[in-house]
Amino acid sequence: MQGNTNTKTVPSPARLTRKLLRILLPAAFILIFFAWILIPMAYTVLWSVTDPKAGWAYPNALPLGYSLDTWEYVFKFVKIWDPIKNSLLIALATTAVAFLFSLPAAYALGRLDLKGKSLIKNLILLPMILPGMAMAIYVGRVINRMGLSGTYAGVILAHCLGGIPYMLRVLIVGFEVVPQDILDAAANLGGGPGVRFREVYLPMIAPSVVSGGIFTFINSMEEFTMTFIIGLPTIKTIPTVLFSFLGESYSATRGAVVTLILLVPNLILLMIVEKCIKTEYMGAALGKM
Amino acid sequence: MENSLTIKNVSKFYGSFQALDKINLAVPEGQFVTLLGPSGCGKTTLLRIIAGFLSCEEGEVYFGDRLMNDVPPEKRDTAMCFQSYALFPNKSVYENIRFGLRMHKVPKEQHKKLVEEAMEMVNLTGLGSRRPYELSGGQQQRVSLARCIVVRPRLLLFDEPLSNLDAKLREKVRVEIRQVQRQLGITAIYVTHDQAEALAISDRIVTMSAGRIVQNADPRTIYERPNSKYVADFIGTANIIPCSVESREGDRFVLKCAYGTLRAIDRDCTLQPGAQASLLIRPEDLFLAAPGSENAITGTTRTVVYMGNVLDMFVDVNGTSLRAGITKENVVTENAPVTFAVKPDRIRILEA
Repeated sequence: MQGNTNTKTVPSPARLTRKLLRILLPAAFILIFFAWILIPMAYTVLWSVTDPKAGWAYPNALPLGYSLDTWEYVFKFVKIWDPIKNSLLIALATTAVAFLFSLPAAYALGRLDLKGKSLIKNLILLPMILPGMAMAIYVGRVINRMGLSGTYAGVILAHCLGGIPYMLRVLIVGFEVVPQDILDAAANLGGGPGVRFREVYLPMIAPSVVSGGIFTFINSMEEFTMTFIIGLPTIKTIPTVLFSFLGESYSATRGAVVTLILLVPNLILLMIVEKCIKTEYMGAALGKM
Repeated sequence: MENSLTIKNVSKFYGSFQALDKINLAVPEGQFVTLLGPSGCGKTTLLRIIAGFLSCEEGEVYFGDRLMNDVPPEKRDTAMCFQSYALFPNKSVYENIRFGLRMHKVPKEQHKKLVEEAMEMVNLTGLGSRRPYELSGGQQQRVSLARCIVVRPRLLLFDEPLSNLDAKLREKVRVEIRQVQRQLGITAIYVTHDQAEALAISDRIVTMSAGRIVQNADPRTIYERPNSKYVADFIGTANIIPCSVESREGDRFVLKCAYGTLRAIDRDCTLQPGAQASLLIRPEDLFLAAPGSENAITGTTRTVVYMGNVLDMFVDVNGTSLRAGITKENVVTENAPVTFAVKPDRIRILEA
């Protein structure tokens, strides 16, 4: 330590290293992170425009020829529009049903004094913990008993099972953080229960509704096992088409195209939502306390 | 005059903890009444029972002569300013203030005029389109006040509304609250733990302790003629020491205490010679005097603090501490002999 009296003018090597690390480490992480996401993405895009006749195999770094033949094939011969419509329809309906089911439940679990509340809160997470295939097999049986196999209602019900835990969880938190004072203020200015719900709860849980909705929607869009067991062969969604290209009739190019098709609505949704959730809402919800 | 609010034998329990113990209180119309006490004394509980947010196990709450116990808060026609302001975060200032008008089904065409009047009254003109989070704390509390007064409630309730503001602003908003309340003549119930605030703002102060009302009087009486050691100590600064009553002639007493033998005039005291008591001397009632004058107290200064408006000092009198506040023209050094005197009618005799 004795030789360190000049540290103000000449940084010691240790300090310099630390300074460098502070910049380099995050930079490295960001790079790895981007590579992790972007490299597979780039490959997917490349595969989707690879000329199927030319092909692309080791040791070539890039495809040997490019064409939009696969895109044309997928849209012309696979009738991809039906699965796209199915996927969007089922995802929308799942989100709506999950929301309507979760709203009263979340209110009860978030605002009321109930016995065994924490136990219930943990139980609703079970569908997230159980392996998807195990769940799908048993849920499939139940839905079959109900006579709903191969119907939209059956698929939507099954998808809800995956979405409700997310939705319920975030809505409960949404309800919990609404300050009692604001509800009291509304009440003592003459706002009855209905007004309090519409004008205090709903706007303040809106961010939770949006994020729960995204989770549920994307979860449904990407759900394969439930649709596979309950919906097929009548109801095809994008993931079931994708899996058919990655399974029996393997085709990397077609798989890539379908993957991108699946990705697009989710990306658009995320971007819309990014615009919708303003940070002001969060600040507003917590107030300036 | 009719009482706006009457509380009869109200008790409240939280499990086995008794938050309120048979509270009785009557508030005449147009008065500004403060519920004062340390945290946990039940003042907020009482306010919430008045507002209808809490129910009470025993007793009755009347507005005028109407029993309110089973009336939900939205039908009580009260309006409360909260410590957290409790503004609707997703509504503009204008919409926040208009909320009560909509709920009270006031005709739409009057809204604009009424809201603007209320905003003018609390100096918020021009801020109608702002959102609450774009305002300072003082402005937010003003919005909250405007939101309350715009509906001309039967009772205006305040739950420590100034606690989140800094000292300067607190005084300013406090004056505004009082002005607006007087101007409109609305009965107000104000909860605070700040005794200076209570003295400054109230017609009456209801001092509470452990779920009971200790003294209910106007500010001057509360400060100058407290009915107990608790009130004397809680409000303002005070010298309270044990004493014994030596003799009594009508309202004239001779007291013996650590400060010496003092003469006191106290018309409220019922104690007889030989009784043990406590005496109260406010620091500002002491003045510098020559040794040997009536009611002289001689001691040695220990600390002298220049406060700007007064010299605040602690004096050692025969081993007992005496706090005195004298005007700033005087020069007193530390660790020097000093003699004070106090007028007999400035000494208050309290039960021991």
